[in-house]
Amino acid sequence: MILNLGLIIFFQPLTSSLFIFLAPILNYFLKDKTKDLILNLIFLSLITDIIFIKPLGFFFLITSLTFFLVSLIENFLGYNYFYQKLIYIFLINLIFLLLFFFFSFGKIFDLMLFLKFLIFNIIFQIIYLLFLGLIKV
Amino acid sequence: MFRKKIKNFLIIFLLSLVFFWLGSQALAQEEPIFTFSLNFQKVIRNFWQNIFSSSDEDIYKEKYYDLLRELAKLKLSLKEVKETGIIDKSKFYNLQEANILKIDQFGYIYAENIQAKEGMLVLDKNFALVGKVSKVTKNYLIISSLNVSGIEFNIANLDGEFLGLGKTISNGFLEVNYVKPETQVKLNDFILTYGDDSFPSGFLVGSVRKINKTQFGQQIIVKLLFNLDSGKIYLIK
Repeated sequence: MILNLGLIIFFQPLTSSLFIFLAPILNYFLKDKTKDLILNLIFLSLITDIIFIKPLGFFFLITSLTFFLVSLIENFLGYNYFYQKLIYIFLINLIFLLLFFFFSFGKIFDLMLFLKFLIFNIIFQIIYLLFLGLIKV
Repeated sequence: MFRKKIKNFLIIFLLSLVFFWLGSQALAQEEPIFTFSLNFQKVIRNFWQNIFSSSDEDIYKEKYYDLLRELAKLKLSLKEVKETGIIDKSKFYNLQEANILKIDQFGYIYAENIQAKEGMLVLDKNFALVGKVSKVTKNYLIISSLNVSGIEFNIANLDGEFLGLGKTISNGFLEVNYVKPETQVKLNDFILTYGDDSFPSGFLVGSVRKINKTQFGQQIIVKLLFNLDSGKIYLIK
């Protein structure tokens, strides 16, 4: 939690194309740690709201809606673990960014910008998850 | 297992809805928090800039771009002397300087409020057009810069000749479709605002980066010239 908080406070102001708070939350989601997920989700999303100058609770709302939608369509996903993880990461980012762009601008806004956000976020989250995996090993 | 998960996330989602509703009702006075956040972010960015100061190559690049902008200013001044009426100098009499607090990836700029009003024009240190004030709060301003995608306005060349309707496409570029085939446009030509629709006429927007010939005429890609490295913007009162 403290590491994630430091990461957000010191690096989030430098970039607005990455949602740093999503990576640790995704990590807890993939590990099925619901309590940690809720705690981090509330706390980190509030800090992200403040950094992005959004109404308080905005990121909490769209992230929880994303996870709710993902859990609804989870039944349709495959069971191969590695690919499943990648599918989860892709799906969560796709839904999250669609909701973010929709609620922020009322439309997808700009396809190239959307793709840029999607690619940057997915790469960052994969690096974050691999890095955590390496530390654990 | 899946049903339990769906149930959990439904509860979290409902919780977030309640939180958001309460936030919008009870925590409506968020501005001091956001002002603190903007100032804090400025401190963090300055901190990183001090650690990773620019290399010699970057300094030369900056000097090169500064020279290009100086040239743009000189060309405009020359036109002004020739009384082409492109620039009305009285527009520049009431410039107000403001510090930038944050620039986001969508092209929105947050700056200190200096008693600005919505719709005020914003320029950079070289008088290149940055954008327009879109929201004013007690402590800070939100400016829609030309990096925001989808802003449309008329543009002209240095001779004041109308070229077409420009549309911002983010990432520092503007595209102008359906320029008449007989219109003479060259690479690196300076582009100005035209008419008095979204922006008043005569403000430097950018330079021509690419010209595509199409069956309907020409398509011009314009590189925006505004530069916010100084950390300051200028508002026209």
